[in-house]
Amino acid sequence: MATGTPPRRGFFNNPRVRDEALTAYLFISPYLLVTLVFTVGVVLFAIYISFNQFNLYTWPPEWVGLDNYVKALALKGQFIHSLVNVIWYVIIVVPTQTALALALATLINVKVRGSQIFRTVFYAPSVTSSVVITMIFWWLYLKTGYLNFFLTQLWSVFGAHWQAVEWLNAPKGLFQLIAIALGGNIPSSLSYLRGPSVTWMAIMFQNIFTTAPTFMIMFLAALQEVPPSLYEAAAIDGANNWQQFWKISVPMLRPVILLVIVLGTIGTWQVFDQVKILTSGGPLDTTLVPVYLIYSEAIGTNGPPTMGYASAMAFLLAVIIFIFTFVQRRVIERGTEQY
Amino acid sequence: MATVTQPLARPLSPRSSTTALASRRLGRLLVYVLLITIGVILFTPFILAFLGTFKTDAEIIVWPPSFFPARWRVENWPRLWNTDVGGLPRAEGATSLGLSTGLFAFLGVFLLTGLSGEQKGKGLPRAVGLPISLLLAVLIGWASTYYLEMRFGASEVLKWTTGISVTLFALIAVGILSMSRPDWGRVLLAMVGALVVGLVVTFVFEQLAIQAGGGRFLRWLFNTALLSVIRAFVMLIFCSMAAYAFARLSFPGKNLIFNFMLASMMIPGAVTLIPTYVLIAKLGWVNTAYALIFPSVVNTFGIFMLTQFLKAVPRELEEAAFIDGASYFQIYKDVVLPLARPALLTLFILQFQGMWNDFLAPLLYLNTPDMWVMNVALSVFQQQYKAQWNLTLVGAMINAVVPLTMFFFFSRYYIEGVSYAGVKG
Repeated sequence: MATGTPPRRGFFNNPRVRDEALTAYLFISPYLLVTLVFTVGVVLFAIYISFNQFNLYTWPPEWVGLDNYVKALALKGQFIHSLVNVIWYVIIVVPTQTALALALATLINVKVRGSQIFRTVFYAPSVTSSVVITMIFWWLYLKTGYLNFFLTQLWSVFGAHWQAVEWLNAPKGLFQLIAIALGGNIPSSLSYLRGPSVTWMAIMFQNIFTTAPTFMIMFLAALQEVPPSLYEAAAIDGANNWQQFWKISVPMLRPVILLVIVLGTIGTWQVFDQVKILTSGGPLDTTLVPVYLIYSEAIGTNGPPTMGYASAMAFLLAVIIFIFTFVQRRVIERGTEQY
Repeated sequence: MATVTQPLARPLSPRSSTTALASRRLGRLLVYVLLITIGVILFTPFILAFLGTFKTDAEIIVWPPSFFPARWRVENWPRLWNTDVGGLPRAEGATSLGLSTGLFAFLGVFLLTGLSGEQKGKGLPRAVGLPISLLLAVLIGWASTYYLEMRFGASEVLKWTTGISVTLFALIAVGILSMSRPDWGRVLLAMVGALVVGLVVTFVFEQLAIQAGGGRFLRWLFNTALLSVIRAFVMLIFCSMAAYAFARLSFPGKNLIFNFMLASMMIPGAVTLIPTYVLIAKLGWVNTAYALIFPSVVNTFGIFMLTQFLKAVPRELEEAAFIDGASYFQIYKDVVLPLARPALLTLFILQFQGMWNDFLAPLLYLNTPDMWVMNVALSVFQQQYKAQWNLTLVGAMINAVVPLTMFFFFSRYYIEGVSYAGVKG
């Protein structure tokens, strides 16, 4: 323990300093061991195999230089395709879930009787595993499932007929549907312009459903830190609830909003569970995402496993996530400077 | 913001008091309506799924879907419970579950009973006690390889990697106790006692795993629960020790290691996925509990969270104990751990839930039916029994019950945990 300033000189001669340091090293030794093997070692190994043709059954790895990276960055390749898909996912899911979480937190923060109970109730779905939620949604998304049933009922209220959709096998893109509704079409050769497929949007909806309450709790914790005197002062000055929200809550929550956006972005770039269970990347690769692609290449779901290629894609993904969050942080922090 | 000249100016409302009251009531009503609507929307999928578990195979996918089952088929629940996807309990899997439980039972008992409070440096001299206990630690590692050989003739690789891991943990425990200038007679006694406990625990849990069966629901529940508890518990011990070192002790390289730790939190899981899989396959840990336990005995986020927590706790108590002659480990065990109880409970719950809900790692490392965890089982099960949605939903409900129950009892700690995560950025 640092009682006063410990004498630095003569590290090995001073038994007290030496004992303290030795104890500390022993206390962190499990961390050091695990990190050396499963973080440092593993990352170095990943760098190495990303330059090799490699799988579990061929030893030694065969050096191929930058081939894996070149293959991953091919414009018509699957990796770029998966990136386009996941970018749709990020730009739709992150803002929606952040806004929804903020709205829910603001609502729960209103001092009414029983708001604690609602906090618990709202958060409860988030503690169950994504596999459970995915299973339930899969069933709700069936052609004979409750979502189609609900929409049929809703449409019939307006006297219209709802054509039941097979939600998890609907490759048509959003913009394509809009174009068709307007009487045109987007040819399938322009795959990037067709927008996220219906199936992909169904998965997005499910993800927003589960993540929004988690982030709601983070916003709620931050909202409760905002001094009530600010709101009181604003109320005296005649600010209504809407103005109070935009002029007090949002500026005070900026750091947490940034955090929620960054955490949400990192999470959504690596979406996997839902895709693996629901679609395996289909239909027509419209839900193919990088982590699923990496997984299937490494495991060898189609053909022999290519772990070097998968590693190269993993690194490219890491670089993209890093740049994306870095830029995001800079942009949002620049926005804060005005305050 | 305008300066408030009258701090107690709340009654000064521009509107007359009756309309203000009415509008406030209306606002409250609106808030309640919104809250209830959202609550219903959030819970509807669970309620529909729960009702679905009582429907027949045909009824559950029929158009139009009904809300309540025509007849309540309670037998769906035992039906899933008794379903067997095949696959016998493999000795390798059962032993790995038993051995990991036994190892950490050994470590826990040894560390908790190894020190005898008052008398220090008495009894057996260090020059005799330390070598003997180090030797004993190596022997324990060797004994574990012998155990593997005896139970099922494990491969050479698995024997070596298990033996080395066990030895390393035992050596670390001896090292930690040796820094407290202990009574070495007591240390040896505690070590032998802990070894007996560890062996009994190993054997009991191995048998429990075998009795739970192979590709059966009971076994998946057993696997998930055991792995979640062990992992959360072990992580708690090692994270809190590391956090104590980072928060309180000074040692060369501390800032470097701490900053490295923070930086390593930035590495996305996708990067380490493949090489970790290769490493685990080469270590012979695929389809054993080691694959999920040993790489995650510590958790960077856990260390970081506990370090921040301890830094905010005043040191007076610890300093008093230090002046009384307590060793660092005693202070950690008797002063710091009780002080950090709320943070520890929060971390335990987060880690338990993390393992219970984990999908990718178990999917990669545990592919034999006897080692599946609930999540993997559920996804494979759904593929095999595609039409029987009612059974899948029963599985989903059972899977969800444990985290939900824990949540309703400890919701305060969950919410604190998520707020702690706010420090992460």
